[in-house]
Amino acid sequence: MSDNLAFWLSYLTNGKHLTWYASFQFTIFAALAGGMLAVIFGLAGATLKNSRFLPLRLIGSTYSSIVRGVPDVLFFLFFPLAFEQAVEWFIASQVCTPETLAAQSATWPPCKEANWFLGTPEYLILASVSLGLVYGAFATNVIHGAMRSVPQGQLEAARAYGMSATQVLWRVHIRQMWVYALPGLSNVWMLIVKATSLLSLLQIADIVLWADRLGAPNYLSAVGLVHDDWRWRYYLVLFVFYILVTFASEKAFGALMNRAGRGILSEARS
Amino acid sequence: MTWFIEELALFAPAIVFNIYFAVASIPLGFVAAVFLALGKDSANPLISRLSRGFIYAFRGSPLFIQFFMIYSLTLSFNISLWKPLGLSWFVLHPLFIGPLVLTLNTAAYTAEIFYGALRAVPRGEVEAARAYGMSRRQQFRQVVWPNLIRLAWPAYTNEVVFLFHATAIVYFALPVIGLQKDVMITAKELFERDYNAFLHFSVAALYFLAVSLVIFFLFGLVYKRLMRHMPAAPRMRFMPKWIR
Repeated sequence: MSDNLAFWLSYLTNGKHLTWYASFQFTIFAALAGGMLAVIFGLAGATLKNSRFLPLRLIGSTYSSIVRGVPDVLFFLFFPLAFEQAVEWFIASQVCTPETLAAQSATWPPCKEANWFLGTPEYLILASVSLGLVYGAFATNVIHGAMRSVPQGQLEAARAYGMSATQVLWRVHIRQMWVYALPGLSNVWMLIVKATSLLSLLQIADIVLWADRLGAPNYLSAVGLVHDDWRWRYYLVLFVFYILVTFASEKAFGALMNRAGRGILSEARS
Repeated sequence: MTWFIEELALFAPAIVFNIYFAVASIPLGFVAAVFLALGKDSANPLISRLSRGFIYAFRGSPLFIQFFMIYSLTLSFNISLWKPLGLSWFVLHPLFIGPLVLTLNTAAYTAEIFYGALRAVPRGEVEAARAYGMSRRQQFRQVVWPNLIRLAWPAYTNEVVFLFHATAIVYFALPVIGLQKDVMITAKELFERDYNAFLHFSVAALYFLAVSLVIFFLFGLVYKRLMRHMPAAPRMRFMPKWIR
């Protein structure tokens, strides 16, 4: 029994497993950064949608409807690739000479000097930005709807107190908006958490990639077969991990909603 | 212009796979969802707990992980079960596993929609049906179900569009066999060939957008038929909710 325990303890703390545990930071970072960016893009999109200037309004609604009309994976893959190419194109217009252009045989980049190598941190940031862009479109709609749910009387009262338009917006409108936006934003957050499982598609060695590597049949010449195909066990762990994250998020958002709703009589809380 | 038609033609066989995954999983998921929703509402604590747990687990975890988990689980039974039965060519095929996982996933999401609609069925109508002496089966068939499906239809349309979008990740999790590639894999391979991200991904997006519009149109027709007793049938908006 103690032998067994010792085996499991050393198995679960070997170098590869420690790397796996460490790779949770990528997922957590992408979720938090993506979530924050989604709220920022959502606020920006909702402001655009509320604008009195027609072209801005059009930009806001086109952004929210186009991004939501295509699968999130598509945009998630497209944005980092397109951004990388755009940067390389810009570098190429600066550094490439006719000689280097002629020397390049591959289709892309235009010349070898223009190649921009992306490591894990860069991809992680790009992935977070694209999560923010995709789910910002969802948040745009949520925040846009919430802005319109704030009772008109509250805004009129604020104006009657002599507040300027900016003061009304920042001190009353946006503060009261959160009560109505939080249920929707909680949904968006759940979507972001689930979308973080896609990080491995951008060559980030995240929890999914490591689960696949660790679970694959493991043969060491010194020991023999350590274990056969254990991938399903690792994926089961991830499955449970995500369910726990969802559970914790639900609880956290419930507490947040209670706190945001203090002193506000509203049916949005019930 | 011809290059654009050629590009569209490259994706045409690929979209068939996405449509296949959606069409194969939607009817089964629909039926399973009805039972799951009734199960969640059941007075029997065991049935209720089990349905709740299933719905929570499959709504609370990413589809991508579900694909990997179920595929590796079936793979681990290969030597002990599928191979002796001579079934491995079938059970391990992406065209079987894909719809299987999608069915489980959409069943959970749809069950939550149906459960919400089930709670929203007017109590008075059910009581009236009871007062008429209808049996449980009759009550469900004549009163609850017609109400439920009408209440749930707009949200269900939304879910079907999301399911269709979810078919984009099937082949990122399952092996691509020969020429059986869906739209995303086609776009990715074309991109790796000539690095034209804007063209290939936009065309893929166009295909998804087009099929989503068709889904909205068809489901809108069904909704109109469901609502034909109303004086002015409420129009189905192009984008009802979009949150899954």
